[in-house]
Amino acid sequence: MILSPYEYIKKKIVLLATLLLIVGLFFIVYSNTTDCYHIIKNKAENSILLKPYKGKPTVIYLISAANKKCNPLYKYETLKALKKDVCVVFLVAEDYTDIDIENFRFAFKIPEKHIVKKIHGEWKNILTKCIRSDNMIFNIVMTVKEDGTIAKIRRF
Amino acid sequence: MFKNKSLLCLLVLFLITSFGGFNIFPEEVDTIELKPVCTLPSADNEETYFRKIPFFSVTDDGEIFAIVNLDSLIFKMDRKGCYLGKVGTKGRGPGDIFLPYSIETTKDRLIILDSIAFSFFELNGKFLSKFKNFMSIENFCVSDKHIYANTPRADKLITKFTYSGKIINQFGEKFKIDYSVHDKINPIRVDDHVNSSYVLKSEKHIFIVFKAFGEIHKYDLKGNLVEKSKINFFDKKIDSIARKHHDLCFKKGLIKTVPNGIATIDMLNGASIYNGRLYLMLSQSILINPKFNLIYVLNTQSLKTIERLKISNVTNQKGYLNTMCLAVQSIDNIPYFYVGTSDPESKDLYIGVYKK
Repeated sequence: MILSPYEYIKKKIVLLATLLLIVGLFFIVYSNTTDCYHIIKNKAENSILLKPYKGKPTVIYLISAANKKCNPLYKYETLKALKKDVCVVFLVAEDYTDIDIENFRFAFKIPEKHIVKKIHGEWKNILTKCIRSDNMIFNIVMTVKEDGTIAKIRRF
Repeated sequence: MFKNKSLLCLLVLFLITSFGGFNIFPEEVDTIELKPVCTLPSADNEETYFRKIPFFSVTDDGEIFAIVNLDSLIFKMDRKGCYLGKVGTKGRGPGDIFLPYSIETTKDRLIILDSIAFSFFELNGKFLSKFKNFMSIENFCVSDKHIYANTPRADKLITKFTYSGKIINQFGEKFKIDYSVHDKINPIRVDDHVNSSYVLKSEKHIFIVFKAFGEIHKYDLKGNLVEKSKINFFDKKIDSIARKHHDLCFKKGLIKTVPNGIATIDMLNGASIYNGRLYLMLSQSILINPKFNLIYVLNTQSLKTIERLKISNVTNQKGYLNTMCLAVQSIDNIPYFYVGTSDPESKDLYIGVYKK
């Protein structure tokens, strides 16, 4: 079957668009699996869904300040000792320097497999909202199930 | 036979005392009364006020940086107590201070420890840098390049930092505690009380002075233990209180109060180091109706008590003056003693200045 020049160009454009769409989808999926701390706000259910890290149950600590005496990491010692398959992510405030992160790991004996990185995006807004108090310093811990729903949120 | 036994006893006694095995008849030390010079802030200074007994640091020039913890403020005063300005503002960002509780000065820097971080300022108040505090630091001392932080909740009592916050090493053994004697008391609380201490630095040594029962551990700057010593208070009553506090910590167990406190008082509530001498201020709360307060002066080489300094008139109709935080600084070659004080009668909070 001989295609007219118009149909030929149309078919090529559709093919190119499909290819671009596949590449785009692959990029989105890939980026989400490597760094998937994005909140999806489900307005209908009035709840927050988020993807757990690489499909594992995840505990996410949002850290504003953590002084070992007055504000230790909520249940981190137990978590570290008993639930070894849980992925733990510490998202620390933006002003933490590399030395601060190093000292944070040292003070709380955080192993390499647990992630410590600076906070960004929607998480920053959540932390900012939750620590609005002038006289107290609050941090937040979230437990995320394998299906991405939040089992528990606690301020400490 | 009886005569021989008595002679033998006397001979043994003579040998023990002459070889210094232990000193049955301790030598007395001089007690020098300190004279009040003034109180700070001065009467015409209306900008400076305290809501708790202030912690402070005195520079070589006699300028005073005092903490107002609850307001997250640092007041700067001249040697006469006149207001010179504030350092920092309340907050969590660069140059901000959030509930400060310990302060030190060097020749050119002011170092403030608050609930979040160590902050570095020039003495004129210009902010330099900060690094975060994660280690439950109780107090600290400084050299020209390093910070020696007292970290009772870490594995070791001293953590040495650079000014940029990098950890160099940790040293200082904690006391080993038998938690089973402390009935129904959280081990962390016991640990906090037993290992609560002051850290002080001389040119070549670091001293850890334990507040609860008055013991001193001396380390070199690399962190090697040089000597351990107990403070000789030269007072039967105070010595027996120190022993009792020691027994409570290690043998009998601390006493629990409601809801989750412990009924203990520290032996010491102020410490400073100056010119080869350790100055340790007694907590007068350990004495019933104290008529005076005492500062023990120890030689940093031998760790022996060499004299006592007495602050009189500490009692008035409403009770006794509560003192906390001690600094010793020489101005025009005269050593001055700065004592954070609260007066129960007038309800004044001030820094009392004394000299010999």
